[in-house]
Amino acid sequence: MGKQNASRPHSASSIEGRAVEAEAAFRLGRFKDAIELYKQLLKQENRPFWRDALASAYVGRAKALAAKGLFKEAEIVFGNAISAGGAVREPLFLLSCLISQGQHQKALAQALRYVGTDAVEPEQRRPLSDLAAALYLAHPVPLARASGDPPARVEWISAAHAARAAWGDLAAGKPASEIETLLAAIPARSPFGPARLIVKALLSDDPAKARRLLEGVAANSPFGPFRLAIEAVLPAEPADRVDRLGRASRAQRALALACLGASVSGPAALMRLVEAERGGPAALFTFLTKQAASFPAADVRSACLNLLPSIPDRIAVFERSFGPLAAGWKDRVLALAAEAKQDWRRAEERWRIAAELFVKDGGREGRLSAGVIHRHLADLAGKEPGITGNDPFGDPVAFYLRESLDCDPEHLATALRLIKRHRENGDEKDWHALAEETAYRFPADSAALLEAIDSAAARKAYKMAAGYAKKLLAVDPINRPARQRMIALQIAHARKQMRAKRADLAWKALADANEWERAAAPSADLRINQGLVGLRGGFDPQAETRLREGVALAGGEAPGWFRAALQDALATPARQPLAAPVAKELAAVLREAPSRANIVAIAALFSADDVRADSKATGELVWKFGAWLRGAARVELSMAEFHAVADAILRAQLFDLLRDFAAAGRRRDPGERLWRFYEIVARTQNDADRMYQAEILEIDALCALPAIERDRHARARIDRYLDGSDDAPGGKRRLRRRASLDEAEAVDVFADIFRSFMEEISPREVNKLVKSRGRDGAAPVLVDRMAKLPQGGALPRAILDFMAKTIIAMALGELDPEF
Amino acid sequence: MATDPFSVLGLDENVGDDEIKSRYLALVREFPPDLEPDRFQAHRAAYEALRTERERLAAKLLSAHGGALARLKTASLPPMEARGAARPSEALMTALLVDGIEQAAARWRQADSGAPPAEGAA
Repeated sequence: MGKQNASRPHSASSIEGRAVEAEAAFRLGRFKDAIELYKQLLKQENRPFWRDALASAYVGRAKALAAKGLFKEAEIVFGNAISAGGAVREPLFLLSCLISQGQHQKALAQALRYVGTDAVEPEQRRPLSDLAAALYLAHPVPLARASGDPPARVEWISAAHAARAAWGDLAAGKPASEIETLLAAIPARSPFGPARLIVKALLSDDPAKARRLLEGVAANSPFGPFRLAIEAVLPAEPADRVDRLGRASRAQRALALACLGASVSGPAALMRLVEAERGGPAALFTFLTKQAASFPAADVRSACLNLLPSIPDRIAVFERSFGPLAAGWKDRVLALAAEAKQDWRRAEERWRIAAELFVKDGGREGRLSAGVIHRHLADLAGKEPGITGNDPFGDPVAFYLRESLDCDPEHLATALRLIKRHRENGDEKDWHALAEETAYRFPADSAALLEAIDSAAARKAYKMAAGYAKKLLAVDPINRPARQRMIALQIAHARKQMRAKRADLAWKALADANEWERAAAPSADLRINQGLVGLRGGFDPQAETRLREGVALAGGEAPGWFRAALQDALATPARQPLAAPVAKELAAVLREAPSRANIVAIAALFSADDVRADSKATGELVWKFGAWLRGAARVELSMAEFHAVADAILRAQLFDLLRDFAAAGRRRDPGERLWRFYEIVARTQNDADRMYQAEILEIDALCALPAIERDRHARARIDRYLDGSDDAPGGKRRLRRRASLDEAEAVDVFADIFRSFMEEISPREVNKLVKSRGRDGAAPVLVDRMAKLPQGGALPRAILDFMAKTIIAMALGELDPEF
Repeated sequence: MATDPFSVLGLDENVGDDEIKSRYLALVREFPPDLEPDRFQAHRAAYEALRTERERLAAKLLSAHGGALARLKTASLPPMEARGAARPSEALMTALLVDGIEQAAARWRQADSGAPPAEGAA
């Protein structure tokens, strides 16, 4: 900046031009340039505004220097500001520069010039007086009143004399009554008010009063540290007292010691302990081992044990001082130390050894400890890919939860977590086995019973599921969802019996379900199914009445008869005609034009899980629904309503109908971009692989819209289309095709890495290694070597182990090199 | 404030269910939730973390807690009756004032430069 800026003032053609330039330099924070320009301007014409501006530029420059830690330089520049501007500017800033240099007396002298006068800005007067009060008490100087002093200054000086005398008398140990007389001369709102409160608190025998007095001292005032030091010795919860004394500065702790009496051994020990703690874990460990005799032995040992994860190299010292660590505890220390370094492989290894040793140790606590460790490893595995479990291709979370459950089978939360994990992973066999085991082990727990119901229902063991539901209702009789579930399970069981042509057993199952129905909340599906079974079985004269009751409960007319038709289709073998009254009423419904409300209600029926799960039975009805909608493309549906309708249309593969709905929707509401999405879905026949490049770009742009990003349903709908995971034919196939491609790619990647290892490690070298260390000893050496190679660092150790054993087998001629 | 549950409740790692419960209830009586909501939350969280045997084992095994160290410090605390036995010297009072003056000066300077203010005393 130097030369260029220095020449700038001389290039200004006029005074006004230079003034503009000076102002700009000031505004941009180029204070040095602004000072030069204003100096030149003042030489040409002594305008008061420029004098002020020059003073402001000096202040700005001084602050910039102070920000860089150049306090001496800042002080000199600030001195110019005062002489140039005349008025005193920001004296607190000057004082802070002087205090930072340790020039407290000089700071006090400066402060005393302004105390009680109008020479400084009003907002700076009070903080300046407060700072001057603290400076005066710390470094007293003779103070005298002058004849022309303003009243505020006179008041400040008399309070200063009283406070100083009280301060001195307190330190000299004079009687409280004498000091109180001096304190009475200090007004409460005086800058010496905090000093008055502090002295009173120190004199008071009543801790509550002392605390109240200290509340009047602002923690961020110059008297703040005093307040905190006295508070640290007032009665409080031990943890609070320890905390306060622990955070205290050296001077504050010294005051605490003085207040508590130097003869008391406690505070000194505490201070030494706190000092050692500030030195870090190693310093604290050394202090504790050396001072073990002065503290309770068990606590010293426990404190040292808990320091070891930060300083694992001190394990030997610990064992020398306190005896050997119990089985598992050494590995626990090393595991925690590895976790702190984020060395997950080592942490996993050590935790597993610790768990093993705890179990071997025997006893309930050992097993529970191992369970705790395995749960911890499951938590870690969920977050850290470095935790791999036993099988590099398996799920480490499920593995460790299983291990935990083996050690501690009574831990219900782990069992429930593992059930959830199996369900998410699609491990059906493990899921069902564990759900049953858990329900057996915890027969009175509703969460366990709910899992058992889900598991039994998923494998279509409806009777068993109903049995669990019955147990659940015995535990929790007013559980409304459980009652509904019970009815749904009995209906599902009745359907199974109907398909097996056992209408009598179906009728019995529905009669059982009747027990769980509440009079205030009759079930439409139960009535419909009772009607249908009665009609088909021919043993209930009231069957049709029941059926019509159920239809009425389901909303009557179109939604009611569609529901009845779906229930009938689900309960009868495929391609069997619907029951006569249902077929007749449905035909009547289909002759009417569909209304908006009916379309939405029926589309929701087709979204139900049991309907979606049995597409074979319900396919014809889906198609009928789609055909019925052919004349309804102009019905005004919102996008939220249309998603469910579109699903039903796609299941019926009526792509032209979907296109008509989407086109009509787009005409009606051009601002809704999802209509265009459905046009693309219709054109590509729900196969994202058929999209044109332009359509891909359109979908990309659509996904980037904030409205779509916020709309969870729309996002999920688009994702289903792109992933090909719709119910529509081709969707699952595409998913399978992609999954097999991913697997093939993964195999290729591993093969490449394996080949690169084979290039690095020659068969001769492997043979030599096997001869010197044996087959079992050679594998870990190879694993370590591979882990150090660039490709090996990211691979789990179990995979490296597998590769090492394969390399050994190849080198020994047990495996074909083409393998 | 201490964060590990043993330190928060001021308990030994080897205590049982009953001691934990009675200590927690005593703390709730001393610091009721309506008067000391933050402290109550801390006590509640610590109690929840130690309520069962398994949770206590997890607290003992899975973290390098400072329970024992907190107990050592508490044991070193002076008896409260000792307070008021002596008065601070003038030099000590000056040292504390100098601390406060320097902290206040640093805060003003930082506030002036737009930087965040320094931490409060101690």
